[in-house]
Amino acid sequence: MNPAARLFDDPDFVKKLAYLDLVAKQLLAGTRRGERRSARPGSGTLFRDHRSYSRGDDLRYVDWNVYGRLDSLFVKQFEVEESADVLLLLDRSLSMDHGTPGKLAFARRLAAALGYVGLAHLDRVEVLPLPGEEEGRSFTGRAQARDLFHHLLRVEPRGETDLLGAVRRIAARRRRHGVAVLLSDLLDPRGYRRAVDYLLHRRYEVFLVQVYAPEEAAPPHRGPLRLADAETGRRLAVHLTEETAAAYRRVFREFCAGVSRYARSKGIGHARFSTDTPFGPAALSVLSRGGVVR
Amino acid sequence: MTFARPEFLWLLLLGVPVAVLHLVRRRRKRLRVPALLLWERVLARAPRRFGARRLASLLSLLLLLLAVAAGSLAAADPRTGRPAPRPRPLLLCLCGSARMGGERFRRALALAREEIRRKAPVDPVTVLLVSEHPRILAARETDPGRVEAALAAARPSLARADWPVIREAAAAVRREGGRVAAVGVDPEVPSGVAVLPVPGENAGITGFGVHVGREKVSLRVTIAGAGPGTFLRILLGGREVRRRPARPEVRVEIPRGEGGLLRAVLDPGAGPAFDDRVEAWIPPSPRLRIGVVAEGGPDPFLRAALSALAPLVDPEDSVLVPPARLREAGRRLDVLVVAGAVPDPLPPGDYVLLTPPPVSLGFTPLPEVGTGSVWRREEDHPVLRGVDAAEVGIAGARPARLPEGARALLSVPEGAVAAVGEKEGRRYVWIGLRPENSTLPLTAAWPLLLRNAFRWFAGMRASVLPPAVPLGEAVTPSTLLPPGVRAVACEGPGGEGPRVVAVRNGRFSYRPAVLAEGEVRARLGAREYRTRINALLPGETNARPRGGAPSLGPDRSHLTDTERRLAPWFAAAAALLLLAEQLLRRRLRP
Repeated sequence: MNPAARLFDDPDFVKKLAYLDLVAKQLLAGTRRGERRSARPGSGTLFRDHRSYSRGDDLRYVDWNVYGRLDSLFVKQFEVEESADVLLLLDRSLSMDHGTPGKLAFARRLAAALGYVGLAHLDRVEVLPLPGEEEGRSFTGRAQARDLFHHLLRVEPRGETDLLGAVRRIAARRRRHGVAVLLSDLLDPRGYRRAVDYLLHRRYEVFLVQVYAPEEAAPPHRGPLRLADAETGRRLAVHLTEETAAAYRRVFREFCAGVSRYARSKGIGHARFSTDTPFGPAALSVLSRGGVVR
Repeated sequence: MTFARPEFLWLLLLGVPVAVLHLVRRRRKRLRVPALLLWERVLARAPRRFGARRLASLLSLLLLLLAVAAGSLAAADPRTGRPAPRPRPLLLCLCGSARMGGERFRRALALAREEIRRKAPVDPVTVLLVSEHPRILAARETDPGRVEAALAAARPSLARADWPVIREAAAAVRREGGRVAAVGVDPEVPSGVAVLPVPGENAGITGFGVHVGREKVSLRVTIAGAGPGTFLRILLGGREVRRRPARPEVRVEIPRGEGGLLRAVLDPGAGPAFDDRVEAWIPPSPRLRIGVVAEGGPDPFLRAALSALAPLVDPEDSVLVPPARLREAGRRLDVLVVAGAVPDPLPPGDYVLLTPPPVSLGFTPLPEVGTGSVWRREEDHPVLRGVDAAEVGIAGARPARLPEGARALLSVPEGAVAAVGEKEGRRYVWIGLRPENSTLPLTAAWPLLLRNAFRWFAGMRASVLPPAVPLGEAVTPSTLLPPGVRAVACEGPGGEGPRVVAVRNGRFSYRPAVLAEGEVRARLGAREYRTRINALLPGETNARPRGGAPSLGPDRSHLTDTERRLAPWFAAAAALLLLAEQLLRRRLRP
């Protein structure tokens, strides 16, 4: 079966994704030619600046008009449009295996959409499941979109959330920074902020995509409950009354508001999805409002 | 506490599934959550009240179990106290014979009361007064008040007891497991019936028998322990007869007269005091109201005969009737004596005709005969009872040929000289012999002939009212009134005037306005009937009981019904417990 059809209800939705682009506020340096402005000058077509001629410079780039007026050799520099590295950090911890529909499934679809956007703009898209980032695989070019989708569909939930540890390991392996899209429920006991801070410190263009299930926002159960942590198996006895449920909803709202405040304070794009959000233009609209795509 | 339906106690086992269900329902549901991060924050803010909740849950379970227990117990119908014993009928046959006069009947009543006191409250009591005509005083009665009222009204009779009639009732009671006792001194109790003997030697009047004759009352009084100065005083209607009891049995005769309350009182004189005092109500003798129709009044022979018949003839209501008022007087009087000539027309009524052959009644006069004697007589006829007609000499008489419906009583060869008959509502006794022309006055047959004639009429005209009516009861006719009678004018004692009482289906019911003893007159057309309201019925005495008595069996009076049903209380408790549990659960509801 066509993986796009498995991921998206509307196969034509993929075509619409081609019109979108990941918002990168900083110039990124890539390894391949692409459509994104590079931080370093190169042999592009867009004039960028002049510099004094140095021995060994290619004479094709000497600006002879300037030499005629100033009698000095200047070399024209051009902007290079390179591909960016788009890291799709897909949280696949057991906490993501929750909700109806599941958070991981929703995050998978988001990752597919964002990955396709990257591929459409000749970016190098790398899908890094967290944990298990070593299973990550990079994709380049729109032709590999199908592979990207296949790869995403194979990502299964496992392990505990350790965002900081994962991003440290990822960043350690990479020399170049790029766009890092963290798709997670952000329910990391050690905190998601340190992980994001680390990525920012490593000059990654970070986007936070928070996914939550509706029952996480408003727990439907009542009565005496024994809560079991999906990742650690730790248990907690709760008598869920209306009062307790209201307190939980309040805490959840505060948690989400904290994420939003943090993203604003760091100037990073942030979008929040409930898994019951119809996936399609509405979801893209959320990404667009969150400054993730344009 | 006992249970009427102990099999329902198995319902207590319902507590097990109820407890299990409760625990299952109250068990914490396991819920997998992505992370406990947020929940821990919630619990850090809200105080945990698991202890109170667990306690409330346990209390809820306890209430449920208690409700199940209470409901199960209610279904098992718990009872406290002692249930009522199985009713054991008691048949007390009070000897009401004449032997029970005086102290004996009182003691018998005391025995009966004691036996009734010893019965269980649920035991039904039947009290029979066994006399010549046994009466049921109380039928399967459990109310002590009614039994006591029945006993209080009991009186011994003046005759012997008819014990065989209780056999069937005694057998029926015994079949029910009941007890039968005869209370008295009469030895003729049927076999199988226990006897509660009246204890002790009864000094005083130990026997009392009364025979109420037409004109006299004969008493047979047995006296025990009489001293030399003892007198037996018999009082009736203002008359008093005294006898010194030389022998244990004293026979006394006293004129019946107007009847009334007869008292036999033993006057101890200087001897020990007797408490015997036998009373009996004697109905008045049926004295007739006679009207005499004679020009110039009755002749000396008739006057003398009527005087001799004073016990039979009511002198106050007997009058001389002018022929012109014969019809009016006939309605009020019982018998009309016509002397001289027969009035024409002769209204309906009862007549003693001392006249020549009454042509208006169909008689055919025959030529007068001279001296002679009666050669044919109807000796069996009541009118000739005691009259030796064979000795009657005739110095002159007017015989007659009798019409149809007449019967000759005395005849001479030429024809009848005395006859009885009836024609068109006129009943008559015709005596064609004139006393002055016969030997009737000499042989004393003349007043007997008149007396028999009066009695014959009286016997033919039975009263429609009973001889006496108990005080407080309504006066009702003893026989059905003839058809066509619509109303009866009744007049009772206590000064109440005549009152018209409607007759329905041949009966009427008259209750005097005043509760008093006295005469009641019921006027039915031309006839007037009388009865009397008495506290005592004829033949009853007014002896009162006292003293103790032996028992018939074990005392069952303590076997009262103290049983109390607790099922409603348990059911209410179960409902309340369920309600409390629901309220608690609502409070526990998340």
